[in-house]
Amino acid sequence: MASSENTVIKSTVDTRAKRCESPDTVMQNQSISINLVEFDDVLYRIQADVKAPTKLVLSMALPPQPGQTVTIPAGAQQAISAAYGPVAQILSSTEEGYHISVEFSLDMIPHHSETVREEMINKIASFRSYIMGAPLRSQLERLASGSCIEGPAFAVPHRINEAYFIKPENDAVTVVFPMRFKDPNDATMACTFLYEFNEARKGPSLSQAPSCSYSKAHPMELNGMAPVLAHAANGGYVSFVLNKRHVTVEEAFSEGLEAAGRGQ
Amino acid sequence: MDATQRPAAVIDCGTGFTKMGYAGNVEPSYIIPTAIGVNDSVKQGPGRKPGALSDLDFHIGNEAIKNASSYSVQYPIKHGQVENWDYMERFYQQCIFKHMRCDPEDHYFLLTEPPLNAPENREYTAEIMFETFNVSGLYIAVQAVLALAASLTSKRRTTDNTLTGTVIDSGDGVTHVIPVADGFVIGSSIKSIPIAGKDLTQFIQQLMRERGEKMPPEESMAIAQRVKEQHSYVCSDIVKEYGKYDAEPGKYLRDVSGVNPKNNQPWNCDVAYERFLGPEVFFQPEIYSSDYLTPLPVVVDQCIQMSPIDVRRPLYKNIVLSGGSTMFRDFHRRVQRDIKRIVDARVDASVERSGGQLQSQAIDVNVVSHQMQRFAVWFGGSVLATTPEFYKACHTKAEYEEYGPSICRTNPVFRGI
Repeated sequence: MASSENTVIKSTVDTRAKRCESPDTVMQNQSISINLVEFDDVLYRIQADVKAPTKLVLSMALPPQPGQTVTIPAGAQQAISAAYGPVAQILSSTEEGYHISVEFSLDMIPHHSETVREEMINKIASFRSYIMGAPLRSQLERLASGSCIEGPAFAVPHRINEAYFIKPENDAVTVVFPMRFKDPNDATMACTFLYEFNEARKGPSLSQAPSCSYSKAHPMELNGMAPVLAHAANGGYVSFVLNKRHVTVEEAFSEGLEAAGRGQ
Repeated sequence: MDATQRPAAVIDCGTGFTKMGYAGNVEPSYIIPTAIGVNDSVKQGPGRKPGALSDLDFHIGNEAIKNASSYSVQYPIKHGQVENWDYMERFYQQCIFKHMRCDPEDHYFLLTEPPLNAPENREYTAEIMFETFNVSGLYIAVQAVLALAASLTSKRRTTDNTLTGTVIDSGDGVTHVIPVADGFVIGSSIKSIPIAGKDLTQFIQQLMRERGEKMPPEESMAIAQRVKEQHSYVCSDIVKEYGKYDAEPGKYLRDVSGVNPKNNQPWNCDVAYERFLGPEVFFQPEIYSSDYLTPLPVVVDQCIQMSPIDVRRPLYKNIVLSGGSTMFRDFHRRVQRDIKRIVDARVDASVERSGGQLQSQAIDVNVVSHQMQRFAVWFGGSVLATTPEFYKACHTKAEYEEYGPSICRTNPVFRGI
């Protein structure tokens, strides 16, 4: 049900960008500073100054990991420049307490056609999926271009003390989600649900979908990973194996990324 | 990380609009109509089973209004009170997951209630919040107290920080005058007035229609609302104002135009006396209704006179406005002037009755107007929820599980008393 776009970012960018289209209304862009929280402790701060009405700075903090310093995942900066082009500029001075600050130039958002404009605004509102989905995105891109090489699995943290794992193979990428629940009742229900989910994949209508497996014990791919993140998930482990054909069809690729970006 | 370290979610559901956002912000992130668009057709008809996902098939806020052709739009709150709890629950669901985008288990929630809300209603709210959404903590605050808190912060007064004052809370559905002494609502003295934003819109619509302005009939309510929000103001004397308009129509007339969405014909109407006659309903209700005839300043005065005698002066001194229907230009000046007149007349009369033997100190009447008026309640909530005491005052999930929804009948702030 949840979309990948943050509606506050979307509506803020939308109204302010609209005002930038005419010199009369651009003056209405007043200074703002909005603090937001999203699922899994992602924090945002949206800031804009009345002196630069066409600019907007969006800062984002990733979920904190106790005992570790959190940095933005590799490939996130490239993902930003690829997605936003000249609209976004990563600031060298990151807002204190946040992990990345990006300045958007609202007057650069293409507004010759409504669909192009909306697409860009939706992309800005999906900021999180570009940052947090970057490791998976770059891996899947490599898979699509055929340059995926077998390597060790690595963890992508996506909420406090939780991570999912990516294991590149020569012709596939395996993604493993350990499922953890605070409440033991929730864990029991989730196990039943995930078992059914796994069964549903075997039905004829989903034969094209990436293969999926569910197990209570941690799969082989996670051997040698940090035990805090990789072992003893009370809801079991869900793994997906993505092949080249899953990522070469454009739609499937972006859909898969979206799901990953949400940290599902 | 503990839920008390995350900012609380503040949701203020009014009759017309719901204001929501995270505590610590100056403005709510969303102001959406308190409307829900539901698909009734599925449930009706014999032998028809609702689909597997039909309980998720609904919209709230602006989307509900946009989809009014295929969904039936319902307003779960009427006159400040929740009428349909089923719709309210679904409304909260999308507020939390789609708009606020948070996991309710991770956050404390601050909700608001109208003055004199029935304890049962508070229990229903607690049931929804704790059982459906599993929130970590809940605080239900009285709207008037939050509005008062908002005015304190916005004035940045350091000398006088008591939560004493009279709140005139006028939204879309109902207008209340609520005396508050040291944060306690004086329940027995609350007055309510059956005139609010909706009535003003209707009155303006009626005036424009009677004057023969060519408005598309199905749009006339929206046009009247636009006139009310963008062009209306409060005048000091209605007769003089008529004179001004007649002398210089060009200076005061306003144009409103648009395009009829049905047939794409442009329309254009003049706005004249409606500009000041709309808000005048508060001061001379007889021009609008034949049932209710007491002007707002008189109600405020009666309300303060009914309160305990030792708080009357501070109540006159701090009259706070809150809600969208108090946003008219010069509204606070007119209220202040009219109340001052009533008070002075009474003081003079009593001095005269005593034959000049008693002298009375003049009563200070002060109506406070500030920038946050439209969402004063939300802003007050946002301020309150950032204080460290807030988390101690909340009902927590553990308490709910121990005692049940009846914990929300009492406010934990007053538990020691």
